[in-house]
Amino acid sequence: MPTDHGTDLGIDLFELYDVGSHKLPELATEYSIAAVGIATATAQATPLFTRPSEFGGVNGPLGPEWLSFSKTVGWLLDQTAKNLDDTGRALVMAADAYAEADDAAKRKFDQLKHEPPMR
Amino acid sequence: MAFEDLDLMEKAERIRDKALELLYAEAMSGHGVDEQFRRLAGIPAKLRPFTRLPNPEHFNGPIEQLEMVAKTLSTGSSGYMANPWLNLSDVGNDIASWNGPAARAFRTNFVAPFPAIAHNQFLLVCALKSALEAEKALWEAARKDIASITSAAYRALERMDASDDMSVEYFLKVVAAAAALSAIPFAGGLAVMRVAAIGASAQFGGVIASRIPPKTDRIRGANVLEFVESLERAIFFATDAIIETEDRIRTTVTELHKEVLRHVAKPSMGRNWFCARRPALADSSKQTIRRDMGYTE
Repeated sequence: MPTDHGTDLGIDLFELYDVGSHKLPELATEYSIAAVGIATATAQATPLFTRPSEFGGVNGPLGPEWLSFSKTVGWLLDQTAKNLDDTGRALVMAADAYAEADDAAKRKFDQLKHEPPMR
Repeated sequence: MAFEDLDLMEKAERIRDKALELLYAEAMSGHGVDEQFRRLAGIPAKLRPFTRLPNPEHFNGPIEQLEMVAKTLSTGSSGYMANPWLNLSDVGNDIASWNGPAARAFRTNFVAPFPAIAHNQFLLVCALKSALEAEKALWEAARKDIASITSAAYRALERMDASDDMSVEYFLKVVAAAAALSAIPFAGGLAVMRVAAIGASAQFGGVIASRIPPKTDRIRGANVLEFVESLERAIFFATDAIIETEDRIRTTVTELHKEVLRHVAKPSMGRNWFCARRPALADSSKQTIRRDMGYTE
């Protein structure tokens, strides 16, 4: 715990809140976009493996393997996005929980929350 | 219309008709022709599957889509600019002084390895993309191969009645199509978190390290039956080359996928090479969060 009480704690809590409500969700959004991109590419590629059965079966040797691999990669990205989002929510919850226990910290925390963002 | 300007089935019919002309000539000289007629009639059917090969251009959509995903996940290596939003170092600084068990674990297990994990995820996307590029190259080459075979066949027939040596060479470039896999930036790129093991086992670049040259053969035969047999053999080789080449791409993808799943499933390693391990903080509740973050009243 960096600062135990008062206005300084309010500043620390705001940093925690900022990480939880902005930085981690923004990063999670990048991962969600990536996961959607994988899902789109997978959907686009699925019919492309179809060919006459003379060429290694109607989906060929690669089709099922590539699609399975792409689903794994999509899952990894999706999980990362979920972990980032859930962690962000926990940090916001932590900031709120601390603020409830310290009036001065809560006043400073609320004031910073309502200031225009710096970024 | 010139032979080269015909579509594949028109070429097949032109070859059959030309061979029939020659067969009639052979029949007039007293050779038995029943078997030869039967084989000749089957030429278009042997070539018809090649009219339904996947269209290489159709692979551009998913390849471009994967290119966009690779850019989203780029930390600045392998030729792509870094995505500035993909950065946890600020987060690490902002929570540097929170010292509860979950806060410490979050810094150690989640924030610190994040750049390496992001890079590994980027490489997996590049692998998916390179496999599709290899597949696209395969179908481009397959179309050229069957065009080469039909051209050689028709020229061989044209020579049959005019020359003793009617053999004409064709090529099978499809066997080299997996070269696109070499585009995967695996050489040394996985070393960040000792992920080099994947490069060693999957050998994406190694698959085509020997650069198999285009295979060539000849359409030949002293009479129409031998010609038909030679053409059938060429079609078989072209089909076999497609299956064999695609199977090499499949092997590479399968090996890499198995390696990824092995790391994801291994409890001692968690998912921390390819997916940030879920932080304990993510499961904190209102009752535990103060302890987890290190609050001491």
